[in-house]
Amino acid sequence: MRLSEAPLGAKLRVERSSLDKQLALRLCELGLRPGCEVCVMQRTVFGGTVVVCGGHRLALDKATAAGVLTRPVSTVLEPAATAA
Amino acid sequence: MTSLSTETGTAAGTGPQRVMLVGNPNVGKSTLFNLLTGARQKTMNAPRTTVAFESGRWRLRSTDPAAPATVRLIDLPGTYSLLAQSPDEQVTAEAVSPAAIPATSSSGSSASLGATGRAKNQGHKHSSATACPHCGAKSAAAKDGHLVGAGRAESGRETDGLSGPDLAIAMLDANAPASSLYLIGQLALLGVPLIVAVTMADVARSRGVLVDTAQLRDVLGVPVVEVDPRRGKGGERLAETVAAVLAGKISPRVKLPLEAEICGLDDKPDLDLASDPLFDWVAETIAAASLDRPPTPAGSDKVDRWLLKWWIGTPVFLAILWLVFEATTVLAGPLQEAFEGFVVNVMGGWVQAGLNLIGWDGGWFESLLQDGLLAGVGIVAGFVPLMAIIFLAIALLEDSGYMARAALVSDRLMRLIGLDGRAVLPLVIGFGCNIPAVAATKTLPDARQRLMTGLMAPYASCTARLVIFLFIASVFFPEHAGSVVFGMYLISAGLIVLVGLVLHKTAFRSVGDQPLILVLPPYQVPRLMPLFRSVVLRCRNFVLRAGQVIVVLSIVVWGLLSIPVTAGYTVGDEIPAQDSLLGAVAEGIAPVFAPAGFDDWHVTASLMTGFVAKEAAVGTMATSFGMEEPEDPTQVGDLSSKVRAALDASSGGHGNAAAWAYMLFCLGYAPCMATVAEQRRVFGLKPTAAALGLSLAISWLLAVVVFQLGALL
Repeated sequence: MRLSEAPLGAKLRVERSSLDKQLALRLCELGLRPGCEVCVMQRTVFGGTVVVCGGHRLALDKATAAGVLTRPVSTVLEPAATAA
Repeated sequence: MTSLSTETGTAAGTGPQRVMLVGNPNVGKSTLFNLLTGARQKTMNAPRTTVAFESGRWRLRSTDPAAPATVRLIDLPGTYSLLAQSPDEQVTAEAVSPAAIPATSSSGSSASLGATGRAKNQGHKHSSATACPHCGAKSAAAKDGHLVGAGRAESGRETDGLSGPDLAIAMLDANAPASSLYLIGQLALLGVPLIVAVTMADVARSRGVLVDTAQLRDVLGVPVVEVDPRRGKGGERLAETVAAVLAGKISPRVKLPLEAEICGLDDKPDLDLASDPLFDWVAETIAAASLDRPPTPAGSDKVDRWLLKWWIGTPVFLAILWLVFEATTVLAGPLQEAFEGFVVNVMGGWVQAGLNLIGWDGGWFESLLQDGLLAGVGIVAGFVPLMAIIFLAIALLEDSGYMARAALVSDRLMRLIGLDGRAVLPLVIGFGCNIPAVAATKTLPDARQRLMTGLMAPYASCTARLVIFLFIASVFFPEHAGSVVFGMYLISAGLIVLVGLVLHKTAFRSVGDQPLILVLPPYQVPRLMPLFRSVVLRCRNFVLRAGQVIVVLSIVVWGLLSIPVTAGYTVGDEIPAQDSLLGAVAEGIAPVFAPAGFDDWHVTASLMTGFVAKEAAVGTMATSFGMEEPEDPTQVGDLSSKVRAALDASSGGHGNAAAWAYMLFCLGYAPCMATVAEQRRVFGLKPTAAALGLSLAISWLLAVVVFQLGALL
């Protein structure tokens, strides 16, 4: 599942990214690397996504979020999900 | 002392040992720096960049005779990685590279040292910009050593902070240990001696994450100290630890059971990010130090759920912009007058009384002191409350964590001209006053974006320029003065966008093409003491660095106004404008404006004093016609007919077209000297001079085109 399409509140594991290396490296450095768990917190204007990972709250634009491929860990109904 | 600090010690000469603060952005590095150094600090630019870093003296107060009494503490730009992707990160990456390691190979063809399992990468190349923390340690250091050495020869002590630390204090954000540990791992691979300072532990604790410093120390093998600079805590412990390390009592070498290679990407298309050993080390360390916690929503997310919705976030952002703008105009206005009035009137009175005592009053010397020196000091003093308000507003927005959200909300709009969403703030402030607008570029995380915004901001029509527009519009277009002034504001906004587009298409082509990856720091209630401390320090910096230039320029202008060019006057007399050096120069350069229709020396003289302060332009024009400046710029009286006659004559009967040309030229030709001084403080001399030349050219062209077209109508 692309991170840009993941439902709010979903806990996901990052599988791989189809972004260019420079960008992928920076995401890894910020904790968004293959194998790590992320939680989708918000959708922002123009399809941006806010995720929590490795303690950081990261805002990604739509294209970047679409380049991160994930697999659901479990679908937990956090309050954020109900608000959606 | 460690072997490395001995090595770098030779690079440092006999100066104090260098301790560098290294860490991710927004972890409280600067707050810690201000706490540790107090007022004993100064801002410098890294060699050949517009990236500033702070350097200060830190008294360790150690009882150990082997420990130094003071060290030089350097606050480097925040970064997530030593594989730099921006000029600011590059400065940090170069600064921590041990420079004294002798060059053994050129940077283009270094062989990697311990490339376990990665033999195929031997002989890879690095991009010129990235420091390679492992195999590149030699090559990058050799290169950096060369760069820094060259820089030092050129500009003396300005650069001597950037050639490898004797000790690094690596900040570990308790909220986001992974990216902090990654940077620590990179530093360790480079061989940088370091200790760890844990920050944000209070925020983490409120989320149920406890950082056990003893456990972390055992895992990393270097001292780990918890600090809380926002509450002024942890400074003594940190000083003790640094003293002990520098005295050789404790090892600053991170236990890194890793023969890894983490190099730049340009030459490694097959790089497998999932299996990079440094990332694995980070994950293992987090597990070993029990820092691992699943991602959970926090209070910040509840706030974000509302603030990041566009229909709430946008009005909130606009309201905050409006508040900041109001603060720089309505709130700062009276304070500005009071501060300037105090210097010019009260201190001027003291100077007069003092000169009277020694019998030196009334001559050129008093004129120089009063109208040159004190007038300049008055201008600087007047700007202090304004700058304090802006610095406070920025510190509040940054400390609270809101600034990153503002960037997110306005990102799309600003991206059109290649800028970060945060650039909106300086540009809006510019419509109040250009000087704090230039200072406010500090909030942008990338040096190129700061420079670009700082070059665009002076095209914002500040309130001082409004006086000129009101006056000219009332003289030439009394029926439509309001519309004309409004039109000038529209043109100003259009000019900002145009300059932004041109810069984005030319000198700043690569800026803003990066996709948006924004770290949203947790919301925090700003603490008063650190805020107050940072505002005072920044104001002091403004007074010392920009203030000097303003005072010098003020004295130069005094000279222009006070030195007579015709017989019968001496310096210090009340000289009619046309008999002063100013009048002579104005007459000399007036023909330049013939194609724009205002080659009249009265008008040119007003442009010259308009450089000192835009509000002075109308006064100069009035006195050059031998009249008093009107109290209200819309009540033009007799002056109207004189100005109109002058422009009608110079433009061959197209006075209205010349008036438009003059207003347009006033909008863009140069910001006031205080803004130029502030630009020089923030960006350095070269970009400032280039910007000045460019704005003169743009404005002249614009004025000529508008006049020539207008004259056809």
